[in-house]
Amino acid sequence: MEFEHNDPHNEQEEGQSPYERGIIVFFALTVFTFIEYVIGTTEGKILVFSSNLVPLGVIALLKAGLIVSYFMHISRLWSSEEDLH
Amino acid sequence: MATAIERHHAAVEHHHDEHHHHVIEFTPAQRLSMNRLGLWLFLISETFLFAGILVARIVLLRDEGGSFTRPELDQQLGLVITFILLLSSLAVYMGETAISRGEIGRFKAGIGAAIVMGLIFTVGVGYEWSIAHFAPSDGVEGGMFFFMTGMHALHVLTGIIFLMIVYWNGRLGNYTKQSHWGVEASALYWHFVDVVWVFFYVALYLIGHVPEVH
Repeated sequence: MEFEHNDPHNEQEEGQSPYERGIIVFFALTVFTFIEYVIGTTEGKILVFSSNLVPLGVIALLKAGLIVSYFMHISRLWSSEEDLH
Repeated sequence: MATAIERHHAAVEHHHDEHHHHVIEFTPAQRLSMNRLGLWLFLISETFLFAGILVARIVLLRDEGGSFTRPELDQQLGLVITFILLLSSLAVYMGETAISRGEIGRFKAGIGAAIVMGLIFTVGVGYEWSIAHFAPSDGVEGGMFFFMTGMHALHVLTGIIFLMIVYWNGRLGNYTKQSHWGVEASALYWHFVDVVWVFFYVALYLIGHVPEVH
């Protein structure tokens, strides 16, 4: 069964179209992934950390945050009923 | 004279009748809101599963000195399939955005591209399996690698099936700008699978060092 959508988060925000926002988020995810790759394949030689677990974990959390916020629209969960109409 | 049990049954039936006569009506917005909450609760339950697997990898894959180790894998392949999965999330996002604007052509392009990229990712994981220097039975390292990638690939395949159903329904014109919960739900699931890989990629390919002797 389908329900009516009229989600304000799909509409333009701050003059930026959702399509542009998606591309920007994807670009950020790609940059973060490349940084992870460099950290992981140099095995911490260019970092002061004794293990690469911490920097890689932090970057992974940032990437997950971007996906959950912008691609998964977690803020829809606490949208008021009025917003949905 | 009615017994206590009979009176109880009569009361229960009366209670049930009352319920039948007072069906709660939800607005479409309330139903959508409940659907979203239900799906997020399901995804949270899945998070516990994958978090447990991730913790097992962190705890188990270490050398004698306690330093983190990782399996010897094809780094370039790992980077490419990760990029493809991230790109597929963008495609799904574009498809969902398109249907919310009534742009059916862009919707089909986005979802269709995501299906293809999901299949390429799965083939990539299969290729990594075929060239791995170890088998699932080769100790903790082999076990963890095949378990983690296998569990994730199973979810990717499930997501591909969802996206195929959504694509087909879209072709039939079953979604509109106002009504497309199926698209939103399958997109949420796909992005969740992507989030899982964000952590599994670093856990399998990047964290720690490759032990010198297997």
